[in-house]
Amino acid sequence: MRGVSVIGIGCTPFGQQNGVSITDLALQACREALSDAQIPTSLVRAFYLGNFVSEALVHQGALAPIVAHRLGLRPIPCTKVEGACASSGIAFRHGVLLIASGVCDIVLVAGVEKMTSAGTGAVTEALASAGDADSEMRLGLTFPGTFGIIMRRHMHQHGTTREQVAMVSVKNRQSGSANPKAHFQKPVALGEVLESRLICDPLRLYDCTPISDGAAAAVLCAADPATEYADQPIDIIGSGHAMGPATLFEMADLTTFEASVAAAQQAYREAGLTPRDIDVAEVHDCFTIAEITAIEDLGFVEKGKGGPAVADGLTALDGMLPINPSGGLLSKGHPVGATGLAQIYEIVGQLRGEAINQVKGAHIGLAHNLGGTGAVSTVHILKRR
Amino acid sequence: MASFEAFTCDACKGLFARSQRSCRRCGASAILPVNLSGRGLLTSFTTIRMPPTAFQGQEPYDIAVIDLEEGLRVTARLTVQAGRTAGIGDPVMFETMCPYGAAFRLIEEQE
Ligand SMILES: [Zn+2]
Repeated sequence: MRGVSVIGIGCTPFGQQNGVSITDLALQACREALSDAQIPTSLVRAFYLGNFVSEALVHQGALAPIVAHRLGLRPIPCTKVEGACASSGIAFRHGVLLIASGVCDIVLVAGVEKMTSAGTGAVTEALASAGDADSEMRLGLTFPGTFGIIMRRHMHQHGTTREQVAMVSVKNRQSGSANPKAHFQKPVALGEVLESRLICDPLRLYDCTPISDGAAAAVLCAADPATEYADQPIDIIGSGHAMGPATLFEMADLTTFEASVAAAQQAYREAGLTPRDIDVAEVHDCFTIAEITAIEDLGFVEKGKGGPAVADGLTALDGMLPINPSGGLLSKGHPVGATGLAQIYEIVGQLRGEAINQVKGAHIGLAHNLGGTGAVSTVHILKRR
Repeated sequence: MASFEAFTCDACKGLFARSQRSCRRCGASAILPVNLSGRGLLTSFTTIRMPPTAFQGQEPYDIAVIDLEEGLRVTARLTVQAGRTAGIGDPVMFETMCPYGAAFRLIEEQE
């Protein structure tokens, strides 16, 4: 397998983008990534677009060829990739595989979602479709509900405190306050999180990501010729993609997502690294408790020690392992199909040394994307040369 | 006392909440209905306050993950009687099949 590098990145601001269509959002991120890579569209040999709920929320299907055509790409394979909130992590992975296997040299990957133009009930329903329609979603379970159940169990099983979980929101909203592309740019105090409106007990409003619009993109290139195009290509040294049960009742442990554990093991093995080698990570914090389970599942801390890790500052911007320096989904917002590539956008920025909340000396970064009730996960490890 | 209807694999004795053509555990095709006690313990639960469109008007409602005493784990609706507060580890009992799935309720230890 050939090495693969990122030579260009793009990301729209996340938030409410009235009057901008889903296609326009995707185009904006793709154009930014192509211009960052300084390559003509004629060199792009394939296009993967991650998206989850465009049919349900904006009644737009066939999104990949529609975006590609308007970008001026001609005639190349264009594929929409769906894996709930991990859609663009999977799009990225497919781009990597296409180049690694030698099928083509340059691939454009993107992710997009447009959610704010639909009502909250419709969005909740569309997102719930990532759960198992035959069982849990028939009961009226939602994703905040799923994570409310996981949070209560994590607190019971591992002694995680309500305050430790809330600190994830405080930390990420603090980081996000510096990020001009974040949906929320205002920090929150611990008390505000603890007193915000109950959504799915014990989960409260500030434990949740906002409904957002946004898109992100990356240009991938075979590692050898990458320097012909980019001064500072960022190498993808590990890629993992795995599945897990899509329901709570099939999870052996309600505090562990098997898909994340398996994807991480695959990525670490491919990179020949351990969790200790990671300098900075963007993890899937769709809810505060999800960041705690993620840092445990990724092996950064022992299972059950995620709460204390946040409270002790291990995962703070100036901690031993900064987690979500972009502000995470909790402050950036969670346009579901765009999330995985927005994480890659941040990690590439960190490894180039040009991130807004730059982690000093960041050499190796990790991006973790999760979809459904742990049904699917991707983990990517990137390295500066 | 309502028993909880489940399914068992004749080959490996695996238990499932729903009927299926073959065993999820060993792949055997002899799946038989079985009546379970309907008794279990609360593993975790939440209260849904912002439901999807299809469930609007029912909120707030509780959903729980329950470990039945026979070893089967199920996700179900949970009824918490007025004046009671649910907690992890509390004993629960199958109540009825409602249009959206199984419903359990909190019980007293001695019940
Ligand atoms: Zn069996």
